[in-house]
Amino acid sequence: MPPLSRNAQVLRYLLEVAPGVGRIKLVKFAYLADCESFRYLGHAISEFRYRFDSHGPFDRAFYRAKDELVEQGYATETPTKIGPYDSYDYRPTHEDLEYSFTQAESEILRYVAITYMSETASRLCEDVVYKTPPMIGAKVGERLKMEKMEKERDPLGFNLERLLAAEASVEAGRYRALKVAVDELRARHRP
Amino acid sequence: MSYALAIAPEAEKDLARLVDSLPARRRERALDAVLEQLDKLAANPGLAVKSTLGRPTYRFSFVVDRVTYHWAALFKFSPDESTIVVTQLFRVLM
Repeated sequence: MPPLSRNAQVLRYLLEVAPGVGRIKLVKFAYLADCESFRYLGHAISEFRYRFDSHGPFDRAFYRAKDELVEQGYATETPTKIGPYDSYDYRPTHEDLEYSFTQAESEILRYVAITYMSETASRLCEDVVYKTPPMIGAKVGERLKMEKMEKERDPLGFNLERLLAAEASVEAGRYRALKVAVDELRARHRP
Repeated sequence: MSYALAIAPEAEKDLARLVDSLPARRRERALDAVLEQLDKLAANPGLAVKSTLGRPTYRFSFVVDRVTYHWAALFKFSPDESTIVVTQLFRVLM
């Protein structure tokens, strides 16, 4: 079996966290994860190249990625109805998959899926997706400029990789009283 | 009830980097201000808002020599929920 593409891996990871989402939400989750990844890591997680489609950010490569998942047995696709509309429901299978994401990328994918899984597709689009910087001012049919998410990286600013390392330290019980650490720092700075 | 305050080793390095970025004469007072601000957080963790990938984030400002600094702290509660452990300190660009 050929290895899964990066895009298919993104969709499958999102489905593991939020099983049963439809096509529109799945695409929007991937888009939002790429936005957050640009913001915090300076690059996208997927290889999707989003355009402003009639329903917001979209890349036709989505079809190839979800077909890959279904054909290789990593997800199921079930026709369903949402109100009067025909739709599809996607769920991961029990097939094991080793992802090629970094810890920070996995964290972003998990965060997006958990945060937005309970939103309806239309609210997700209106309240979140259409307010992201790449969508603001974009016109239908245009390629979205994801680099609008990337702020100038401040070496003293937030750093996701360092945060995850610190959280792992806390989990392992590696921390000490703030006062002790600050006193040590003061001593270092005294002449 | 106030929580105890602790810091993860990675956040200690963040604090050292932030303090080192200041002029020498402001460092001591900046450390006082950080402690004072984090004490406020320990007394009332509700001052933090959920942002930065869902983490509780406490933004604070302080003034030293008439210069205002805007910093933020991320934290986790210890497993026994008695302590706030700072996991990152960073500069917020306004």
